[in-house]
Amino acid sequence: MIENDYTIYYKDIVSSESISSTKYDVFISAYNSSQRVKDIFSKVTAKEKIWLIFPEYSYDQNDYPKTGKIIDSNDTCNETQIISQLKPHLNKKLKVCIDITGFIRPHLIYLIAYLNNIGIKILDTIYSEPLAYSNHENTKFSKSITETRVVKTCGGSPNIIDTNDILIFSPGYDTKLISQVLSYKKSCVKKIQLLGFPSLQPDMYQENVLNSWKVLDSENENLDTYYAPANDPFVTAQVLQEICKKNDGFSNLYLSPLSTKPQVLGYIIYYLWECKNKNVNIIFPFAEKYDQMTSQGRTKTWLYTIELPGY
Amino acid sequence: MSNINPFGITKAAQLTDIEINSYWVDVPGLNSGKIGNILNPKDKQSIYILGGKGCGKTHLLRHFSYPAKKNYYKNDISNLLDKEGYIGIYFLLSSLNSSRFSGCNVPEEVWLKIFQYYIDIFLSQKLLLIFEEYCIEQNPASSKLLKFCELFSKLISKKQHGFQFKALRDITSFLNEIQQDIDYRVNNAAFLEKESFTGLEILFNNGELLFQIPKLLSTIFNDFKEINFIYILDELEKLEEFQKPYINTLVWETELPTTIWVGARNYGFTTRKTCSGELIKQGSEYDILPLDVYLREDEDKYKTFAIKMCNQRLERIGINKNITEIFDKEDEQYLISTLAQKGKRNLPHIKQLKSYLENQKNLNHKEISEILENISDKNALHSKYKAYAFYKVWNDKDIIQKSDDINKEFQRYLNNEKCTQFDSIVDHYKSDFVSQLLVESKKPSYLFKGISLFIETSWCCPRSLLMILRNIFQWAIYNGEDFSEENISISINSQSKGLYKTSKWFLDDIEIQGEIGLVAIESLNKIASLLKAVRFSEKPSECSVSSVSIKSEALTNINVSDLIRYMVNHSIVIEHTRKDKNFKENDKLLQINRMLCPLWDLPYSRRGILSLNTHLINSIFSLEYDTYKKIYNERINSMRPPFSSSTDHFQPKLGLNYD
Repeated sequence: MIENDYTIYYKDIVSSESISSTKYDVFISAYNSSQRVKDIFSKVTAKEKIWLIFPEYSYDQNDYPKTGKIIDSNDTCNETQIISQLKPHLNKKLKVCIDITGFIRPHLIYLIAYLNNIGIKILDTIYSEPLAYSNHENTKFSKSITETRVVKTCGGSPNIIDTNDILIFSPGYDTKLISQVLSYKKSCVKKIQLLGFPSLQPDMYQENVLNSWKVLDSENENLDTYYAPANDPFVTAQVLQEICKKNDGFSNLYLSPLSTKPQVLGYIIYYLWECKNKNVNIIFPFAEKYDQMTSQGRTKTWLYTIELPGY
Repeated sequence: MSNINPFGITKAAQLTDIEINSYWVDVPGLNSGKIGNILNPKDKQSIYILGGKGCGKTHLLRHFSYPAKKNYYKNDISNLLDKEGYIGIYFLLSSLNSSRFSGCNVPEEVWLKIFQYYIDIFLSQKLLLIFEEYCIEQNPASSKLLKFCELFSKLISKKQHGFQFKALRDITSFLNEIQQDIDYRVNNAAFLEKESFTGLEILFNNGELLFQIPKLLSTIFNDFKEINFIYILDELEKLEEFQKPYINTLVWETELPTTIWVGARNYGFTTRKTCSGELIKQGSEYDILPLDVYLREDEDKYKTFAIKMCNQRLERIGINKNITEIFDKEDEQYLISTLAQKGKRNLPHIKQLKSYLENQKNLNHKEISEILENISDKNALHSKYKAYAFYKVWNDKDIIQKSDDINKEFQRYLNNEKCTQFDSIVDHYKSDFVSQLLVESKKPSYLFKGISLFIETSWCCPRSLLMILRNIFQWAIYNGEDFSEENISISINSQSKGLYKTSKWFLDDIEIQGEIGLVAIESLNKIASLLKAVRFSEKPSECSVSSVSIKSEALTNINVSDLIRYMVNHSIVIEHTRKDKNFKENDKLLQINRMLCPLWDLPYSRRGILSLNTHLINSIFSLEYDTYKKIYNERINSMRPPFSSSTDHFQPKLGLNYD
């Protein structure tokens, strides 16, 4: 198994000016009503700027943004359908940047796996931190969960001995997602939560723990807890590596990133480098609807430069 | 004080194979009863074991599994085979992550073929793993092993020549390689699309391996001669819809010495179709064991089982006391004597009566006082009975005289004189009025009379009972209550908090998926709110009401019938049959699951039944509110003073009086 040191990957807080100064071939962002998403889209310099409009946000065509190439879909809970439309716009020679802020998590996971598959080796990703979530710990992001399943291309080869299955998940504000994942993999003998700490804002850690506790207590789950910064994909990947080393000998491993987008990024980076085609799976509860706006304001904007292992 | 919660483990899936045995308590009817008649591992009939969440399916199925039995027989596999006469190859279908076998622009018929091939290989490996263990333990003659390998090679070579396995390890490696290859193709299908399965050769027919390996084993090895091989496939609900017919096909095509047991939630057994489109037939090709239905048929037996299960948990942490002795108890006498201290005119329902009289009747202060004197009573429950009788004559003339008549009639009732209306009122409404008094006193609506209340709430669902007790003990630990064997005594406070918390968990844990799930929860709220309003009205039309009846005519609306089926399958409501001349075969009688009743302060018993008309039904089983509100008010207006006007009583919210 290749053992990466993910913490040496490049990350930095960027200003509006420096965002504009880098020139990309393709810039991809997921449209939602948060100002922090729209601001970045207007500032990035790229030959081609693409909005992905996920049907889960239920935008009317009249409300679509007026600038940028639009790629949309009518098919909810289908990560491959919308991402595959990017095919004509991408190849391994292009310099690509993604704003991950507005993405729906499994779609983001699949997009990174897709870019890895077409041979992109280095990828810039941008994330803008919110000042607060609109309804604090009671903020609901998703509605109407249809199924919990493996994210496409992130399935493993199951071990026929399944007596030592492990679930590692990062709880977010969406309590329903947490309970769905715990219920879906209730047979896992060990469950580990990887909490976002330090959180994006000081109060968010308490809100997150409160939410997570509500579910874990009612689901009657005892689990180990680990921490990784909510805004750091690389430390997240590093901690995942440590957890897996400590729990070597699992029958099957299930990963479920339900927290911040940088943490989601950390999961997929770790998966692509160390778990592909092994008995490891990324699972996610797919919802038909997401709120168009769940946050207020923007504080820091991060640039993460990701290196991908290739296929 | 120990702070170990004896009910900390509530899910069978969390138990190890050793714990499956050590936590085992004989299920009522398993050894000599209805359940055992169907679930007999030596029987050759395949079975679908169905039930709601937490009714004990997984524990039951794992009890029959090879790893649990091997542990029971202390790894003496030969003895296991000799004594039990079967091998249970237990398999969680969710382990396949079966959603991988769908989508990605690959046609469904291709996915189905791949899935069939894959599940056969996977299950065969499971069986061969058991056989491998047998070989290590029993060391069978190498000639016999070689024969097995030879015959297996022939089996594979039917479609492709050249396989000559010399050892069991060669066979398992061969199958594992096929599995890995398919996994790679399946997992990358989103990238490979139509090319995903190019070059993949399917080496055997559907089910061939699953049925032939047991045949080979029983032919070659004496230990396996009379052995029944049972593939125990748990969690059918986790398969995609188009994959389920294959499980039915395996049931249909089962060849001796193999049988198949399939475990599923009630909502998981959605089709009887096989891959050829034909339907499997109950009775001839398979049986159904509706586990929770059978357990509910004899609540006394369940109670005995439940007490045994609880006592076993207590013993594990060193408390050798019966579960029936550890809870603080309260009774209605205690409630009545507490309320007596308030003074008979200060009881909330008497104050409410006074307010109605002042606002709705043209009476002076003295006249109102005279009525209140007649109706009120030092015994709060008695004044409830009288108030009910008084509300029945609310719109009669001369209600002052009527109140006096009621008071006198009640005195005759107390003197055991027959033919008073109070025989019937007490018989019908006592428990409702006790609940009304409790809620009016800002207490939980149930009297805590010990473990029987929790067993009743769990309604033959062991996990629900364990969750209630787990939450009660959690509160007791938090409250610093004494857990020592001599003094253990769980307070009413911890009991009530634990009960309500579990009820809320049960509601939150209902696996609602998609739009229909959201509508189902709304419908539950509408039904339960209406039932609660009836129960807590001044003149309830029905007593102990927690059920509704629905005429078959209303079920012609496909949305309504689909939603009702969904609610029944998810154990939100329980369907009953009823022998009544007014009740047609296709009419539905639905009772709110007892686990949910505390949230709306509803009773557990099923005496009164609220009949719903088509308009109300259509408005309940939808996201529509205006019609529901209108009919709700019409219904409740007839049960609240002045029993006629269009007062708005509508309050559609959870009945969490106690939080």
